[in-house]
Amino acid sequence: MIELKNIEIGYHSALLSIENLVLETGKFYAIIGKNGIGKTTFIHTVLGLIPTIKGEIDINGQNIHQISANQRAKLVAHVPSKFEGVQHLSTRDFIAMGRAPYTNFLGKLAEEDWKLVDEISAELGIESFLHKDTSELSDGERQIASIAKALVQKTPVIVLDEPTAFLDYANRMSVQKLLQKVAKNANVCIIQSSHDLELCLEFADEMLIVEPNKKTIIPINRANCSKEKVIEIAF
Amino acid sequence: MRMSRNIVSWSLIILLLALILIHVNGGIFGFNFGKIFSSIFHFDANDQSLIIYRELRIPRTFMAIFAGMGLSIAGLLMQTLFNNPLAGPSVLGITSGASLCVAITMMTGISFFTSDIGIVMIALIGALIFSLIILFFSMFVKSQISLLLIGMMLGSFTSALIQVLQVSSQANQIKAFTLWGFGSMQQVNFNQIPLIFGVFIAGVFALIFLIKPLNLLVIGEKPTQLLGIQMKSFRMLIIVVTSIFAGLITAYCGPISFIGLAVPNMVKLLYKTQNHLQLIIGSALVGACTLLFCDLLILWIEPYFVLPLNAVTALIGAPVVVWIILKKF
Repeated sequence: MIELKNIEIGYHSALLSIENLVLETGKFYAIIGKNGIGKTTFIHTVLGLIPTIKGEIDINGQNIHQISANQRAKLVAHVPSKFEGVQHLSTRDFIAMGRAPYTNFLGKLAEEDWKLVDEISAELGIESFLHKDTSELSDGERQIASIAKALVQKTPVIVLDEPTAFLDYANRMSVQKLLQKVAKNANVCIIQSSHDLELCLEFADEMLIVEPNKKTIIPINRANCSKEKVIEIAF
Repeated sequence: MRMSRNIVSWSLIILLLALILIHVNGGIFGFNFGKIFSSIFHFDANDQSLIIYRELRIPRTFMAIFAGMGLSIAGLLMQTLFNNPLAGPSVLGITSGASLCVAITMMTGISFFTSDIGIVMIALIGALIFSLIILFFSMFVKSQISLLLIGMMLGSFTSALIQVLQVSSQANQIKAFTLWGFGSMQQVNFNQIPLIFGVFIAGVFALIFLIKPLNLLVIGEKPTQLLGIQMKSFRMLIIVVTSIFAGLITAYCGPISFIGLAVPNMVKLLYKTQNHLQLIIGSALVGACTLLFCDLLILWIEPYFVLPLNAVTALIGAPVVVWIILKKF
């Protein structure tokens, strides 16, 4: 569970203010808002990359800005909008990087770590390209590998920054379906920023709409949400 | 794949041992283990052949091995830190920093700085300052090429400062500095080996703590930070280790170019991995073999004319760099 307690976020001045917001595990949240409204700043704040101006963000009761980078990596994982792939880095080794917060200073993975990597890869159905070089994967395959890496990290929260921005329609659909499934099956709180309104309305449990006038986030359950309503509030 | 990497490593170890034996014998095929052993452990100052081994050959071979290893590892660290296959201690101006400080000490003639510890310290400080300058600029420039150009500008700036120093220096000081600038494995004596070895081992020890973050860094700085690595302290440790290797070697051998740039790229081609434990071992082996081979060429050509080391490393390294540019840019 992630709790945002009376926070103000931004780099110098407050971009967004959120009074109180609780995001639960097992749910898939979609942040919707205009370009430049502060979605990425919100994501970077939740990831602990930038401090809050005011208030605190707790994940499972721990203030993420007052713990070490390693402790934070056990609470929140990140999937960027694009992973370019690295020559001579296999998909399996890339996914295994998600275990880094749990290894010692040498970074050597135990047998259980590799077992987890293979189990999650099997669950996501990506065994076919597990031994391929990441530089040879398609954009869709790389994105699923990034999600696998985040799952291997075994965190209660996974944050995705426009994960479907560079994908075609079929891949966008499959990634959204996958995230919906992962939130339920792995009991993870999934938060994604996206411009794919229709897909978010179809797959996400709750919309986190960034309201431009009050500069705050309004949570609306999918059951009570429509495309028109989101457009009216966010744009 | 792991099997083929092991074969590559073992082949390199055998090649390295062969090159060491030829090099320590003055470039001649034919070994005299007894003499080498005696020159180290039962040294007799009246035996001229032992003096040759102890004062000339062993320090020269030792320096070629450790300079090749150190510069290649420093190059690998820079290439991973800046995510740039053309990065290296000489390209980024780090050896220029060490050179500038050595030039100041040579031309001002302050006695502390011309002692062994003094020259190592001042070269390390110079390398460290210029590494920090490059690190500072890397926070503002996004393009890989821009950072290399800044490194080149640092090099030009340093050369200009050295020229200004030379104007007010004496002829013998300028001559000493110019010879040092050609790069050479012959400026080390037997008594300096423990100090060089000690500093080198300190750098290798610090490397152990870098392997895990370096392995993660290949996917980018932000992802590495989000996997639990404190980037600020990690970046500083990389800079310190690079400065130890680059500063130490520059102090004793002069500013050697191309090794730090070309060798890590050759190793990645050979090993086909992003595992930095293997890449470090590979860089150390290939770096030592390359520099021993370059110095052997000098030894073989020596009866006819004296070649500066930097000319040989450039003849071998420059085509490799052109190949990298054609392949990656």
